[in-house]
Amino acid sequence: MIETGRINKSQVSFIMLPTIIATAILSIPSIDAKFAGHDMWMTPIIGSLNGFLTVFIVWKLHKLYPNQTPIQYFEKIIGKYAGKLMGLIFVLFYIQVSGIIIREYTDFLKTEVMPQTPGIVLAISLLFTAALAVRGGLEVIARTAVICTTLYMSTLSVLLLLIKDIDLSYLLPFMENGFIPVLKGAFVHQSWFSEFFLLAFLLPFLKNQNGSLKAGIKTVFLVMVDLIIVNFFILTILGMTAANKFYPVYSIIKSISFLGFFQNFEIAVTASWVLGSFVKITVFLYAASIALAQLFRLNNYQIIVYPLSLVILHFSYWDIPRFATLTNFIYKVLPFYLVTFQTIIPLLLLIIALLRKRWGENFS
Amino acid sequence: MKRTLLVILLPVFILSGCWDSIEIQNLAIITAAAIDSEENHKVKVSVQIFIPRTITSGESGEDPSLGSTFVREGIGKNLAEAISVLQTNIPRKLFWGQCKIFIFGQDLAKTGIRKELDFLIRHPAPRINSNLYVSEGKASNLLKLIPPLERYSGEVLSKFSQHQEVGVDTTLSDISKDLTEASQSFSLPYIKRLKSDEYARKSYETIPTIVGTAIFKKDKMIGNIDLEETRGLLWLSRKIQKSTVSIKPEENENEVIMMPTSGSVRFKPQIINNQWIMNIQIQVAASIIQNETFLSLLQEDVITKLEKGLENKLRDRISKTLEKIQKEYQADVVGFGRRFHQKYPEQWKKVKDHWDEKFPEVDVKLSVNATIKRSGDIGGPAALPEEEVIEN
Repeated sequence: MIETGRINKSQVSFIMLPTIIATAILSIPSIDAKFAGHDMWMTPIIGSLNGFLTVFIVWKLHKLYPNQTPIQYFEKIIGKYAGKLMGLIFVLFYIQVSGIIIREYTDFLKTEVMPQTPGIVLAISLLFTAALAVRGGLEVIARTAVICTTLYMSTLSVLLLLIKDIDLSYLLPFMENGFIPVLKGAFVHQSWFSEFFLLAFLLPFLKNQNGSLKAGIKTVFLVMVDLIIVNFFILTILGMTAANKFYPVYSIIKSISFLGFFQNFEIAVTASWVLGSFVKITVFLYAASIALAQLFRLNNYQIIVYPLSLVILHFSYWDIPRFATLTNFIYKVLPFYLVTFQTIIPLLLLIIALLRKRWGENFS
Repeated sequence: MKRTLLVILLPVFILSGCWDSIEIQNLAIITAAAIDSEENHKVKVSVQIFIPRTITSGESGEDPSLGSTFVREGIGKNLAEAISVLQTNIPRKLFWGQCKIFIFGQDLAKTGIRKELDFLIRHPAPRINSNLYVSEGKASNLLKLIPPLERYSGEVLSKFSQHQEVGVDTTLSDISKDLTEASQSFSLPYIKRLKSDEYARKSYETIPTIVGTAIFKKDKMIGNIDLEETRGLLWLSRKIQKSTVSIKPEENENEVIMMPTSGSVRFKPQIINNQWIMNIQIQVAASIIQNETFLSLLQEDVITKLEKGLENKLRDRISKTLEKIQKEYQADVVGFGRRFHQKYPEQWKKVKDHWDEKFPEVDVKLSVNATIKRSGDIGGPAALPEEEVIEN
């Protein structure tokens, strides 16, 4: 066994929450406002359907191949060579996506908080800390996640101070242009929810396998509620100007002014978002490291964490020369890209696995 | 090997973020900013900078009339350039995080403020809940005033807007919403220097006050309304105006003066046979604050008559404002467009592009319902013999 640490179900929830939300609240709301307009508050509900589906696929695969990570069972499902190839593609996928996450995070900090600081410094400091946590093993990741996620989620409660500023009339007109715009917004959301596929790298290391599906479903639900709250506040405070802002959530937090002296929360919130991004990047880095180590049958994955981090750092700059490229990528490519790898391919593999089980192993 | 790596990488963590660290003594904290147009299409930005020394000095003998701020200016082809010119005249780094007051000069407002708005919304430092104003004459002159009561003139303005609710309270975020969405119009408080003729004070030791409202269509100021009409506008933006209303009861040459205390405003858009109607229902509670007449205010029918009078007066006041913005300025600063859009999305799509033509045609049905709840500490008129009180 490459990973000796064992975690429990609530730790899995703590790990997965920021894994979806951390970049979802940075990148999605403005795209959502562009597509769904006044109906943007309900897009996470429809988007989350894919989260439930992905969790179910992962759980089903996990039941068929207990104590194995995707890299191991790919070989069992589609044969040795095809399985290896698929594993390699997944490793590359996670490396690239991690690079993009790092870039989203550094771009946010650079535009809003630290314009003078070179982005690479922000990226290295985050990646290095994440690499240390990943080298510590899954238990370390889980324990840091419990602390970081608690802090991360608690700062989002400052949104409640905005209740006096909301204008509910922005929820109208309801479904002005029919249901299609809502679906378009939901499509972006569902791709983020597909990141629940990362559960596949965590489930084999659960202490107690019972109820893992329920824990996953609960997490998807929590993420959905959280994104609805965020979208609701953005819509009722910024109205349609949200579409024109890169970081609408940051913008509304900046506008908090409660009783004249509860002000300037944005720095505290940004600090907690760094923690959220840290958990997210840790999980991605962990998945990529475990996957790569198992692909080449290494005895431990710790030795490849640093080199892998360096590669991810390159991917956060490679081919992203300017913010417009990143925004276009997030808004035109990423929704299709994420869902293909994390929901559609696993779904196909699950179907193949189920068929194999039914007809026996004899035809391979 | 591990240790070397740690030694190499450790500074990265200690240093991260230090590029942006600025000590407070290297910051010039801006409390308010004024933007004016200059000759040859240039823009002048003036900022009021806080002098931290003055609040701590206390007994050190500094002249309080010098104020706790100073004003510096920069001129450039555009706002961004003007600010970078301004920075060259200030030894500390300009800090916009506390600046919540932006004043536009009237000349600039009339030629359009979109270019300046873009800078303010795009730049990460100014807050979207900053208040904006339009000044009569040059905006920079108002920053140079030294208020006798507050620490600086920016503070005076924010107190007027937020605590006193004298004029409209329009923020950067509101404007950005209004110009993105249906109405394409907005209003800003119109401010002017208050004339003070106190003997002991110099002429600049006074404050800017709100004297009305500037009406903007798209990004250009097209006119302004006075304080009386502004009150009508404020009623429509759901701000209950704590300003007096005087009613002259029938067969009486003196007046009863009352003050609204609470109320609510409801908008009900309606489209009947292609006729766009806006029903506005206003509920108001008032109390009597002065009685010049000999009427006893304990009589219910006197009060009901006064209530009728109050209703008529408020209706007149509000329709006068509506008349002006609908017919004269044709600028939807009261957000009718948004309300029609919310209720009738289909019909809205047809008029969306020529809403400014449709807006004056909207038929406004205004109904006011007033109740006089209280009459202060006394019932009948004060300082009057019992016999002279009219008790009917």
